[in-house]
Amino acid sequence: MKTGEEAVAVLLDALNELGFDYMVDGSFSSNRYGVPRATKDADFVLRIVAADRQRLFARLPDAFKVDPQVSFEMVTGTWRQIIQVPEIPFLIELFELSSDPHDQSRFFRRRKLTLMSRESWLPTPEDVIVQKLRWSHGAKRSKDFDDAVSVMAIQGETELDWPYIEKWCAEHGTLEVLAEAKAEAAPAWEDDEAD
Amino acid sequence: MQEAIARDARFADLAKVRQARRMTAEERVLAGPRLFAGVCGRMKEGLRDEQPSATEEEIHRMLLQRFARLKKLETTRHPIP
Repeated sequence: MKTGEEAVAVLLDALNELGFDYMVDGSFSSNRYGVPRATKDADFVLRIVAADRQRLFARLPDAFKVDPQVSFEMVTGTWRQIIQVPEIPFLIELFELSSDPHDQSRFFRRRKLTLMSRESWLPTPEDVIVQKLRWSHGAKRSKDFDDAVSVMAIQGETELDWPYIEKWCAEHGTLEVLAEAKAEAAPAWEDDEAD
Repeated sequence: MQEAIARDARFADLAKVRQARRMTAEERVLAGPRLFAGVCGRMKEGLRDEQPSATEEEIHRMLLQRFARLKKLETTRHPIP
């Protein structure tokens, strides 16, 4: 295993072959829709039972070191599993799909797209924006805010479902940070108009 | 001066947006881990400068330690809500 992309490809193949329900989340999804940035990990959201986790791990090559400690997220009541690929070093985080309403909505709306020449399930760009703004507001991480801005900038003002985004931002209390993000993305949209 | 800095920053950001729009979706996705691989390469070069007698295995272990520290810093500064 030489690269992070190889590791993600191996995991995607395993998930697809097993027929599991999943979604590629985090920076892989924001990179697909926005301005790419370096990423040292890949996040996956899974809708599987505990026994299926073991079936998945059994499929992975020895280069994948599954952390024996499954962490339990108190807020969402879901599990989180880390898989390391020490040779490279790259991290894969698996999250159980939670009952959070937006988590459910974005999983339901996920799209089957091509990623690394494979069928893969990804969130919509609107859901990437909503999620990144939520994290930006809650965890105060500037990279989440920047990711949301970059998705808006690349996708374009007229291409995004703003009523959907605003609905969830209202639920999450992130309408103000949404307005800030739109203001940051606006120069890219003006650039469109100038073309 | 501040205005010039702000203007240059906006110009740099727009340049990145234009570049990203010229890429395919696949290229944008692959850029993430590839940029990270480049970062690892440069970090290892720095570690070799600091520890010229270290073996490649030791260099790799030091790299992993640095990332572990960075991860700890991230989770301490920004606890997951």
